[in-house]
Amino acid sequence: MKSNIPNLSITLIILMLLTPVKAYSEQYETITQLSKSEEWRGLLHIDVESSDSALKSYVDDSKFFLSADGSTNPRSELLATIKALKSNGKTQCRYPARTLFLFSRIENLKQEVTPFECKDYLDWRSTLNTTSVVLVFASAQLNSPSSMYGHTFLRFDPENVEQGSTYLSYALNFGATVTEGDNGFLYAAKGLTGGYPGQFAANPYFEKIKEYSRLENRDLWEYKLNLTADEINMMLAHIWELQGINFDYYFFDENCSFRLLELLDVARPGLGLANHFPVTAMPLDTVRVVEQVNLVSSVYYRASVLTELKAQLAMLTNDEKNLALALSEDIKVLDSPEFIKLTTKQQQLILDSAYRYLRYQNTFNGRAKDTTRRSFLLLRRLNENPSELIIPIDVPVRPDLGHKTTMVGASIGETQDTPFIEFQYRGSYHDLLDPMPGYYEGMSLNMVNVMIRAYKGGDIELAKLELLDITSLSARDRFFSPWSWQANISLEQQWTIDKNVLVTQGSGGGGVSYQPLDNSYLFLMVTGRLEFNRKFDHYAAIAPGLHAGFLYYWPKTTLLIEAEQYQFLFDQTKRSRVSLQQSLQIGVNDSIRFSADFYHIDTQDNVNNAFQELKLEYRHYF
Amino acid sequence: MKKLLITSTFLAASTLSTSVLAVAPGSATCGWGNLLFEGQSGTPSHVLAATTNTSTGNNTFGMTFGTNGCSTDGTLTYGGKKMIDVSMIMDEFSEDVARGNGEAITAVAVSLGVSEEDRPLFKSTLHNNFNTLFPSENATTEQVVTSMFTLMKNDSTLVKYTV
Repeated sequence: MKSNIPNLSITLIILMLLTPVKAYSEQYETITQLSKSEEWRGLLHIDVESSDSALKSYVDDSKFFLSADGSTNPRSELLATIKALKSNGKTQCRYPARTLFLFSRIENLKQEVTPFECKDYLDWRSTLNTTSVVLVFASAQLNSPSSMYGHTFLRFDPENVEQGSTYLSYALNFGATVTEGDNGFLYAAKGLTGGYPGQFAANPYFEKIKEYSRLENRDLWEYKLNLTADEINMMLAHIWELQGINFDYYFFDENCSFRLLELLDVARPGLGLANHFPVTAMPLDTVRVVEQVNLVSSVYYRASVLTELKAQLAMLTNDEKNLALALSEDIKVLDSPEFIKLTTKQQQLILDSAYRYLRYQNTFNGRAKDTTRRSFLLLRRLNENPSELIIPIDVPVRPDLGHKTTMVGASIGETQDTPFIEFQYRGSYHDLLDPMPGYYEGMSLNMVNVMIRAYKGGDIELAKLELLDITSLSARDRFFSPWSWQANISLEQQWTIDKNVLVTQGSGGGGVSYQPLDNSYLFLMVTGRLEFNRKFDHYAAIAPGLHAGFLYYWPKTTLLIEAEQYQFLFDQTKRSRVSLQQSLQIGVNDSIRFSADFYHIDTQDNVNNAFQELKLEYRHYF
Repeated sequence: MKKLLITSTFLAASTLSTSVLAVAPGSATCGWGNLLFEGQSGTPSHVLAATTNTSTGNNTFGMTFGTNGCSTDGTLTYGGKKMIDVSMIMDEFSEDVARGNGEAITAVAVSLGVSEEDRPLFKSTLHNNFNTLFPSENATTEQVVTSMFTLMKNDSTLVKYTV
């Protein structure tokens, strides 16, 4: 009897040892498969399409991984996660999304893990109480170089948010952690090269409204997504895992929009949204992709404070505008006969305009005693004199329904009596004559624009390689006095002395624009140009100049007439150009354009050359 | 009637202010001490941050603020009752009270738990007592919130949302 006991215990020990080994070998295949699944790779931020030998997580933070090689080996991270779950139930609180995924895919795992009440996580979830998710697109703002392409972030709404207030909703933003004091340009430079760590951060939505709508005057587009409760659960569980985790931030590809697409891929596996953007992820294009996979259920437009103010001013007659302006400067206008004789409704409209205008003007001016006092008196009068005010704001065409942001063009033309054909490719995004729906007037932003030209007779040349081209026209009137500006960096052909020379140039300008008619801009800028031209006496030459133009928008067609002239300081070469361009939109993503350019070049030896160039172009946006 | 209200407001303000301050986080320059039209003064770095798509919150995931250093989760407590940090939306709130409606006044109502049916009453009560809530441009958040609670306590329907 006695001898049987050790035997029995040995058998038991062997059995105990065998069971997990057996289970493990059965699961071996599953583990390997699971580690290759889109879901698991999504949770680790590893590109699903990369080959097994080139795996690398986008997360640049060792504290995100449980295994030493977790960032490059999803299988060992999977095993490490299972091990950690089994040995410490608290692992569930650190990795709620991994836990959800593994519990649902590995049989009996849940039974082997000690249940643990994750109080912090559950508290956070109950505070958010999320039932729907909104993708918010902050429209582009040219006057801030780093936000030219717009911005996206997510908003998490509780139940009945329509009856309540989105002010209290939770906004989740992925952004670079910028060193204080770095300005927009330094930001762009560092941003391009991954010089900043990126992190997710949360704010209440009203903070975001303030930032964008009030401080930056950017309209917000709110795309409500049709994620299910389970999908939202998975997404939030994963967001919790990313708390305090660093990613490298790259302005063009691994930016705010790319990270949000990864989150959506975690929420609804199979969409493969992040795979759409191997090179660049422009916020607007990511919105479009989200729309294409039918994730959007409704869209809401939130006009900025400035958009509202302008819409309200547009309701006033000329005399009323004068009164509003005067009232914003002097409260005594309230007692003037011109004001008193008006109807309550007119008074209210003027009061409201004056109040909004005064607040807009003083957004950054703090609490100057007189403007603060005047603001208060206007507000009090607004309260005493109530009449329902509705500002009619035309909802513009949704930015994602505008033309796409990459373009190819083909044209035929003639220059100096020689016919040519030209092929054009533009990486991004929109110039003054491209189709207008979904874009802002007076704004042009282009990067990487190549034109190759073949002349009759067989000569082929690079006509132009534009790296950057920006024009920002903001009209001045009695209420607003913004500056307009332009910047351009390119390699281009310039007729120098007796032939075309490929030169490198950078130029910029600043000035004013006005709206003499609705939908038109008249602008004048003082310009400066730095040109590197091997046919000049001085290889690097500087030329001050002037650039004027008139831009007119009709519903489907745009006209631009320009004149510019500049003279090099030492070389004495003077170039003048008068140009007429007209575009016609023939589809959402197609347009044609006619241009006639007249050039006049005076060189130091008084060798004059005048020639013209005519061109007809077809453009397709994709 | 109005006079009576104002008197009771002052009384309430003097008796409650200590308890409010006792729970008010942050320094004297923010939170409950915020003045009307304080707006964005003195926050240039925040403005820069906003223009560069940066993360302005801190990196924990509660409702956190990196911008005014006042409240830690977007809410403050008034006499034990949690509500939206009105100091963060003072300008918007004052405008909504003057007009009688808007997102900021709705947010305040929602954060106080005012039911949908009672919100029109809440809004009209505040709207009709603009001068009580905002006696001058130097009204602080503390005074505004205290007056708001007094107004609600004096209303048989709204009183239930003050506890």
